[in-house]
Amino acid sequence: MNYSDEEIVKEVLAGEKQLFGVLVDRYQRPVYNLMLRYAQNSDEAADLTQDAFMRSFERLWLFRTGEVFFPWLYSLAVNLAKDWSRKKNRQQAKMHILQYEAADRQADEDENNSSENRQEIEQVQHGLMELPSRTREILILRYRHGCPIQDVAGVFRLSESAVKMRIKRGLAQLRDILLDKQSQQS
Amino acid sequence: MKNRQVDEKKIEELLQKTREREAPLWLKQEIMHRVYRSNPSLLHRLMSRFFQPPALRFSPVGLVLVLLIAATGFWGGILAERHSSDVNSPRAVTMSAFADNAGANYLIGRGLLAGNKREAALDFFRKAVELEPDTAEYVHWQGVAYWSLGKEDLERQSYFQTVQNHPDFVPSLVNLGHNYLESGDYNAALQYYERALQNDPHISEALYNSALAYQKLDNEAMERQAFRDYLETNRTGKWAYRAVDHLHQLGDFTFRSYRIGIHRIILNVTDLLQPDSVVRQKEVELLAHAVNRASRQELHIVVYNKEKNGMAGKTALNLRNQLLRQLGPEQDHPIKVSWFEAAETVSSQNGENLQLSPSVLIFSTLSNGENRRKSI
Repeated sequence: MNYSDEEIVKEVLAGEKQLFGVLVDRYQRPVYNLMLRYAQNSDEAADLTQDAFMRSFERLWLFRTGEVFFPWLYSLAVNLAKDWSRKKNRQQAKMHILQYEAADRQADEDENNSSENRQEIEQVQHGLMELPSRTREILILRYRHGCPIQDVAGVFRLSESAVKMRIKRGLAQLRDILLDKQSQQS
Repeated sequence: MKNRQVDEKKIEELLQKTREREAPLWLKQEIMHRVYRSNPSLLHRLMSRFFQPPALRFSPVGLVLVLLIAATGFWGGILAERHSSDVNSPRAVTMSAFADNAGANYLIGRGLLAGNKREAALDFFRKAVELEPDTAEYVHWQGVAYWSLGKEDLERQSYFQTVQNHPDFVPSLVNLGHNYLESGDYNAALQYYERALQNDPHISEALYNSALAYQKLDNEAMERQAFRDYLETNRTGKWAYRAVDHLHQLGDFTFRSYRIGIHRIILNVTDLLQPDSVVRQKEVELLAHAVNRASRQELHIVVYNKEKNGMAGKTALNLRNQLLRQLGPEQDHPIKVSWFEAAETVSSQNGENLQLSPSVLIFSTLSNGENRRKSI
């Protein structure tokens, strides 16, 4: 039986804790990657992912009928990541950037893409890491996870028009970064 | 994106194809462990009660409570019946409190307190104390009920009453420590924790909170010692990890946490690196236990020692041999050791680099090193 997220939330609130595992299965990857982008260290990212899911479990009763679970969870995760970021020394995070990048290359989910296309994706991925974190996460949530503007606005507590503006600016910034890199290479 | 043809449409397409790493295999298991261990908050329980349809569910605690109340009610009924000729009304004995049975009042008080019926619980405890003021448990639990209602002064008076008659009654000594700690009288808190620990040196709350009291008193040496004492007997749970963090903040790396497979363990590094295998034994046992729980893991032990030539290698090999003996001949976990005649560099929590020597780094990797991601 394929339960919707909202049905699962109801069951978990009724005491079926084990069903929370279905939600973890569905969303651990995006949340883990979100944390990885902030922490740039796989151990820290794993710990933060655990904390994000635990926070969502503890606050599940606040989840309102009619809401969509993923943006709600993502919003908690983004806030957690931002709090963590504020506390963490930036220099220390930078030390791990190589580790993140090296491991990232191992992920090979787009085997069907041509090598040229893979290279382009990699460039975009690197370019994203140079954007301000909020802009980067808005772009990822919108394009990678296909979230509607309304949900993205909810996650970042912005108006829909502000989200559209940030997406537009983010794309322009990303394009500039990519052009910059191309000119450096040539 | 060759020939500088970078348009936004293309970037949007590429963004959709960006790759994500798989979450670690153990992550879900770890989250679910925490989920199963966690209890809903009081607010959650109240909200659930008011905003969700009632459902019949089996709850062992609820069942015990119901049986307890039914049994005491039944007993009370018999007593009432027996003495009915002596009283004008047959309903003189009610569930509000038993007139002459301290034990029944106490038990019902405990049941009510467990069900968060605090005011009602206090009435029953008071009655129990009134009937048997010398029974330490009754007076102590009256104090606990006062605490649950936020009446700290009355709580303290109850514990005083207990320890006056029973100077070695540890639960009240510990709770007096908590009471003083919460009220900011750290010296008094330490005094009661100390008394409790003299009776039982392993009370974890008293050990941990003593460290907090010393921290508040800016006594770093004693704070450090108290956290170490706590960690000697407590190596699991969030308080243990917090104690390790506190020690690291104080620049004390006697204890460190290591991830072995999906679990984290806390080890006393100083003991683990001692030349005497008897001193190492407890830590090696803990490490062996963690290794046994981690399937398909390859263990790596890296020893650092810049002070004594040849010592790092000797320690690493000794550790490996002792661990293999502890794991037994049937163990199938590869154990790799390496050593450096240099100090280990670690980052402190404020971002400084620290040099530790002697020191040990322990971690595990999947033993076959394969990419275990599966596609369906």
